[in-house]
Amino acid sequence: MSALLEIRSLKRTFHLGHTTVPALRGVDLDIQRGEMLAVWGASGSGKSTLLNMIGLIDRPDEGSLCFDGDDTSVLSDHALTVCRNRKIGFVFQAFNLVPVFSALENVMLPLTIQGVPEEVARQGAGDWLDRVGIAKFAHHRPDRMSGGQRQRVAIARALVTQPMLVIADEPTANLDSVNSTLVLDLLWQLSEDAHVTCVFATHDQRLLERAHRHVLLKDGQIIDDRENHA
Amino acid sequence: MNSVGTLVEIRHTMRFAARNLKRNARRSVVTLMSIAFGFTALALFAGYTMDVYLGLRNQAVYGELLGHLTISRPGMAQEGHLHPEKYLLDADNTSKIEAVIRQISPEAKFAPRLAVSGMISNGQISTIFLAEGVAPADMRALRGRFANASGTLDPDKPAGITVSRGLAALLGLKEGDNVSLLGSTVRGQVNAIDEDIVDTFDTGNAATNDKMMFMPLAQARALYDAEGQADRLTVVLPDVAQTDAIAARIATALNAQGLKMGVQPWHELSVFYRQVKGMLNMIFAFLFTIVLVTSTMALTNVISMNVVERTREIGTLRALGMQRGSIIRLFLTEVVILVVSGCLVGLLLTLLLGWGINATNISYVPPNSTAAVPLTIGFDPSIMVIITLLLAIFGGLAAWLPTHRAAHQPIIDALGHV
Repeated sequence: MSALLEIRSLKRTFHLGHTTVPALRGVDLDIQRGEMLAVWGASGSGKSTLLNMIGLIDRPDEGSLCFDGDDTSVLSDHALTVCRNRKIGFVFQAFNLVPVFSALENVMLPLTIQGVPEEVARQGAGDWLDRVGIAKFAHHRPDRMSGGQRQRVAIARALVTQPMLVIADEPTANLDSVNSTLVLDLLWQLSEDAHVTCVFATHDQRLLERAHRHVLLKDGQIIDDRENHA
Repeated sequence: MNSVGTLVEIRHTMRFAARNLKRNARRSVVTLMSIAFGFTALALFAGYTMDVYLGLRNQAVYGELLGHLTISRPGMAQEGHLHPEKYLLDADNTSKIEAVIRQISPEAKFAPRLAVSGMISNGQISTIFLAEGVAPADMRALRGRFANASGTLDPDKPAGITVSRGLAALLGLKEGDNVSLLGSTVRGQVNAIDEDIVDTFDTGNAATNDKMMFMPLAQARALYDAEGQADRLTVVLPDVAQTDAIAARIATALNAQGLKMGVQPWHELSVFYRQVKGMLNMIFAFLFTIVLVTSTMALTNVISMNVVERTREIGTLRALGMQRGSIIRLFLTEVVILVVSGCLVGLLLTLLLGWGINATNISYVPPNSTAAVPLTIGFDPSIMVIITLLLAIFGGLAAWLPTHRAAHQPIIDALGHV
């Protein structure tokens, strides 16, 4: 079976006024289906930029990225958006829940965007809230939930569409150690259960310990790529 | 997306938009109320002008007795006084025209008319008069539900005339007084007849209130020495909305019979109606422009602020798979909800204020008028629908630019927005 993601010579440069910042300087990377891959490195090494490319929310200046066999450089914005909705789940550092929606409605959101009938979406979202252990907060809005609870809602939202890939950018950065452990356990267990490929950027040593593979970035280039046998 | 998906999106968008508006409740309420007040101002003014137009129409059609249609020889109004013999209709013409009217609009009322002018004297002093000759029974028929209004001729008094109140005041005339009318005949000879005053009336117009009269057609013909003749036919139709259509049909039918006649609708003949309507329409357009500009600016402001505050959320929604079009639709739905809610509140205010104004019986004297008229507010649903639609369209256009910009900005920029 081919890799879920095939990345070749990926380059991305940002222009900040008169300053040019090369965030990625030619990245080659294959990510296999079901893999748990940790991207790590110092701040400014290009971790988030690489995750944005992999999550199809940014386009490279040069190079190619094939997702599930499709060359994403030829896909329209509409097609990329559909692809994100159906095949990719996101867990953001700041949770990024919609404040006017309850936990249940936030989890329903990707399904609603797909046009799934409301009752079906409600049922599916309710099941996922149950699996992340916060079913009793289903009707709470984000401002009435703790950071850990919010991130669990975000995990449920990322997985509710049964995606091929989950992108998690520093998922534990805004959480205390207890909640970090809870969220990590959950993300791991659910991703493995669902055979979802998981790519995350982190500085968190506990996260790194659990990953199948570590990719170390420095100045926009991969300087180390190894299996984790820990 | 299939039809179920579309329905899901519509419901979801409506709910999402409503909650977003609730999120900034104070801002939304201020915008909604500015729309409501603008709507109320426009709807009240439109209701007022509607009543004014109706009053002026009734005054022109039934008061001045223009009827809905006037049939005369082409050029009669311009050249009729110089060469009356060329423009008068004889009995044969009149009966042919009447037959055509009966055929096209069997329920229409019609009557031959003859306008005369000259001097009126109370025996001591004289002044000029303009008189409309019409058979008393025909006048009652033409006036229809206004038959008992002042100035209507009395069929039982064949020598009885009605004079405008300004003219009566000028000559010190009252009901029962006798006057002499001096005029020229169709051939230019001097002629005189005596008449009795049976009633007085207000023309509503200062320019004509000191010279207008109604007199029986037979008396007008006697003064003008034009036995069996008329200068025009006045037609009152059962439905005013049919005026222009029936005018065209009558003109065509008369032409087919070899009668070259002009058929003019009342709104072409009533200069005063056209002038007042033109002026009020201009004021309404001015007012509408102000309301449209202020409402559009208020909506632009609120949507721009919402877009800026929700930039990160827009990035999240785009990352989760919401299309750009759906983002734009979401904000446009918020505009539509604000406009429709504002207009509904405005409708309630309009009904309340309109009822209050009508109940207080306010009256005023319009420019060039001879009497006070009541200030009444009508209810014009069509203009309210138009106001709502235009506010929604302009609000949508105003919101489109910031929304479009937000939906098209790079997702990573939106997600990084603080």
